[in-house]
Amino acid sequence: MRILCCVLSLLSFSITTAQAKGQEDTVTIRVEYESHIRRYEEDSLQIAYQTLDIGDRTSKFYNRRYEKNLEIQDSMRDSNASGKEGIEERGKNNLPGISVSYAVYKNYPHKDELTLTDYIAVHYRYTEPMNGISWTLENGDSVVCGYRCGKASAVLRGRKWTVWYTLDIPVSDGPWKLHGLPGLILKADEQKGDFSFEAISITKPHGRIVFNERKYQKCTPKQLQEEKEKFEASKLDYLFKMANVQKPKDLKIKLADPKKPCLMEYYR
Amino acid sequence: MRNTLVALLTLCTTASAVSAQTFTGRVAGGGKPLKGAAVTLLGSGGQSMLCFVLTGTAGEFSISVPDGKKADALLFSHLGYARDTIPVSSFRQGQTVSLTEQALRIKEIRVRAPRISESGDTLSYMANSFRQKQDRSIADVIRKMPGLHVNGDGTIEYQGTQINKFYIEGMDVLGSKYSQASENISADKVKAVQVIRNHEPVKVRRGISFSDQAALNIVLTDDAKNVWQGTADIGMGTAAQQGTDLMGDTRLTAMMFARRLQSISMYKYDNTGKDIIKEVADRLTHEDNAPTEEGMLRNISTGTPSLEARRTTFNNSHALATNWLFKTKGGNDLRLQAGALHDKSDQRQRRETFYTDVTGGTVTAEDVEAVARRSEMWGELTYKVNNNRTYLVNTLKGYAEANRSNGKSVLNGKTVGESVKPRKRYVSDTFGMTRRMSGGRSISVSSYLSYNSLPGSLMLADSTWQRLRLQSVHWGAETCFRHRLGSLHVTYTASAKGRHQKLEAMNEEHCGTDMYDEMETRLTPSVSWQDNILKVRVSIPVAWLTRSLGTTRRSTLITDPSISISAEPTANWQANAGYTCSHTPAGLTETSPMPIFTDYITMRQGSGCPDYTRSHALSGHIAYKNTIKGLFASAYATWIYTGGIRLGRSTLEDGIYRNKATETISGSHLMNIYARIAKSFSRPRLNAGLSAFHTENRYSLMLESVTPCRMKSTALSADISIQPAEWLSAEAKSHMSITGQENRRDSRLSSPTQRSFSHEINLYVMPGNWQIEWRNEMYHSSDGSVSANFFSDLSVSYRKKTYEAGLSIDNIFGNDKYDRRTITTTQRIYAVSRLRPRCAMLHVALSL
Repeated sequence: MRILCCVLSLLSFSITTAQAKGQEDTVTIRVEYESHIRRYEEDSLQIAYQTLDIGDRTSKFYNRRYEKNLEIQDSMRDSNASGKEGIEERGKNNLPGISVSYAVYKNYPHKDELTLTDYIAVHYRYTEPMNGISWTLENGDSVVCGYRCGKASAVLRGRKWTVWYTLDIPVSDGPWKLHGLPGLILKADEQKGDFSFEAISITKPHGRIVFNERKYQKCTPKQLQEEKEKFEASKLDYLFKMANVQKPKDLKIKLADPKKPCLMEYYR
Repeated sequence: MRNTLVALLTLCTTASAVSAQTFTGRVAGGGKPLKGAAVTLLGSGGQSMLCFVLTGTAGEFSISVPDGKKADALLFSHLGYARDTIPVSSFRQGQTVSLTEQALRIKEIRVRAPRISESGDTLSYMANSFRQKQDRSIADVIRKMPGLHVNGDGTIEYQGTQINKFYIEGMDVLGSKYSQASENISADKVKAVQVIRNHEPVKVRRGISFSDQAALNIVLTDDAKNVWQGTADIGMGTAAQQGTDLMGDTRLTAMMFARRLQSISMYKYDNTGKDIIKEVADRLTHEDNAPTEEGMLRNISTGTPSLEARRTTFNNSHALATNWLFKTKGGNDLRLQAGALHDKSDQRQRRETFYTDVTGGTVTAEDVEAVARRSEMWGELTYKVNNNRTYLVNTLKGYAEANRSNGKSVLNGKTVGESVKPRKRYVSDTFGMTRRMSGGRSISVSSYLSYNSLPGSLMLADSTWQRLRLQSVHWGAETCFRHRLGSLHVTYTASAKGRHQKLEAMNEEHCGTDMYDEMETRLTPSVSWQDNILKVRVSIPVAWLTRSLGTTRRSTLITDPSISISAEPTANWQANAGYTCSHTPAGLTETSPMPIFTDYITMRQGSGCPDYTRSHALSGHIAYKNTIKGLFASAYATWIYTGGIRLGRSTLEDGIYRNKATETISGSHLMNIYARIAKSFSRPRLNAGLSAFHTENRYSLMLESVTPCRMKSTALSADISIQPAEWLSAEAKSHMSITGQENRRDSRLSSPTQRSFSHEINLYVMPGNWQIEWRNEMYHSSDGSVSANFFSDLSVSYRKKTYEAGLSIDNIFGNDKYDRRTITTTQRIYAVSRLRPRCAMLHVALSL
């Protein structure tokens, strides 16, 4: 166990750097979504709360609690606090465990480009073009979060999404990578029921959209998908590999049996 | 002419555009092309969206009408600009649409927090999402949470299983007396109610042993923490029927919830029929307490008919309790609990009892009028270390009661006096320690000791006295060692326990002393295994049981194997099943050969043999939960066969019921099936539940010969609560039970099946700070010879956050009599109970 702690510490120190200010934008609209996420094929849905900060040029969809956790980790490391203190500090902030770690930046670093960051033992990052999603407008309307919404559907990398968007907020944006409609997407349901997002609050906060600069490992979307699968297949081996440390042969740590991750999209 | 040509040209252009079904143009704003502006084709008079495009870099767009659709207008929108809608007929091909700059006006909205959220084994119910305006205590709110159920006695269940701990902010200040919190913590002081599933209270054992039980944790609002808070309620009134007795109820509470100190203290007085004593009763049966002795004598009680106890209870109750939990610097718990109660209850009932276990069957008629007094006090001191390496607990408890009842009874037309003084005192100590070692090993030692003294006296129907003195010592010690063997957790337990009982009895028929000694030495190897889905535990204890009663001494080698399997295939489903075999030695109070009266007309005489019963129990439990939909369902079934039951022959002479043990040994089969489904809807605030319960008991009675009998009981109930508007809510419950006893040898001796029904509808109208409550209850039965009863209560109060004042009238219709027939395994009873009179009360409550 001690060796594992050392590995994790080494990983933590070697791959993260203090948060720095990157490109900034001003938040004009903040939408909180209640997300239902199936993390593993055999698991039930879990609830998470994710935020879409919409700025003048860019937008950021992320888990605010996760980012708060990262901030605490960084500040504890900077102050040389112990791991126990870090856990207690996170406990005081009533922050649950890290469950949703990805962030999606739209129109970043350039217009019509999308950047996704995620954490699987190390921080990964990729950028891809924001190819237009081929939406089909459908009959039917609804009221979400007090806004009248139209209905649309599209298939995005192997999953069919049905969404409700409002023309009252003419922003071609939405949760996760969903975008490209004449109004803001306030509700999105994946056809199999593995994922869904529903807006639970819309506010106009004072804040900035900051890209969290870290020492990211750059990759392609497909590579990140493969890394996730490798990690879930053998977490311990993956951690040692990422830390570039030889796994001791006599190490006996029983981790939970591997589960098949439930992916939001399938890159082929 | 020129105008005509222009009109024709325009018409042709428009017709051409419509026939091509494609519109092209540009969108600009502030004189510059707008990229990413949305151009939407609207149909159905502008009500539906047919298709859309986003403008390109130069603001250009080209949009075609989908086949088979008819476009009515084009909508142009972009963040920071006012929307513009142009009818199709007015749009010119190649037109540049200029949007006017306008700041976006967002209507800020916060919809709702999730009503139930789940994180690992913890479910969090947000109190505000379930609380209705009329709810006062947190128990009122818990009743509306799907999956949780508050029983009439105050015990709380999650998915059909009793909770094993009740925490407030993660601290266990009340132990088993948690009703003091659930009934007295104000609903608006609670932020969330958490259910911790599969809860193992001992941290050292987490991951080694597994639990299928759940604990409850109350999460308080910030303003309820770190400050002393209290309530002072006073109610006064008068009966408006059967005289003008003065009525009153009082509640004083003081509470503090801080990180290093928690305290709950209360004093209550009531003579309006409310059961305040249940709040200081022990609620948890799973506490590691030392066993204590149950006496043979009881206060005179006419029993509670199957209607709200507050309708029939003529009480005069005082309850005082204080609970303190201190956290030491090391994070350990020091808990002090103390309390006392005094109650004087009038008992009045006319009763006819038909004994189905007496050959020929005879009816005993009684008209009882008595006063039962309870005076009890208790104290408990607990020190607990509960961290990841060490668990250490020591609990010292003391209890004393001085109860007595006096009265008279008209027994079969003859007036006799009644008097009983059942007394009980005990002191007990429980110690336990578990230490976790390296390599997943742990070692535990535990012990208990209790000394009980139960002197008592009873006046019999012939006005003679019986005096009893029961003394006993219970002791036990256990040590166990746990280690891992591959993926298995292996536990070896060596234990010894015993009891010594001495009973002195003196009545007109007998005067003597009996002694009973029991000692059991047990070795229990057990193996448990678990993965992500399955948990399995098997144990095969072997015990040497030695008992002696008087001069009779017996030793027996017994094995009590058990297996339990628990599965959680998905996060929504949980199931467990198990088999348990157990041997239960009968104590002196059941086996003593001395004729002992347990009330003024009931005598029991044991076999004089140190008997034991053995039972085989099969159980299965399945539960489903969907926290997102607020849907919870659970069902369980148990079957228990108990063998080694010594039958007693019953006789009735001069109104005295005598049951004497025979040489005949028999067995019984008991089957229980229970199911409940509950669903919560957020809008309107609606919670609904359905429950069903069936029990069947196959047993034998010793009539002229061994007679097989069967007792069946089925109950169905439904409950619903709804708050369609802020100022209006309603609660309704309906319950039906069917009970029958069958003599399987001679059906003519079977008891007729009884069907009884109860319904409750409460309506709350709450404009502003006013609250009008109208409560209605109805009880009826399939038995035409007994009457139906309808009760109605009305109250009006003015509620503010810090105070409340109100007026209430109970039993508006002035019902004064309740008669019902009930069936038990050995009796058919027709009882007429007196009801509380109509009364009016004034209440004032202050929140400090």
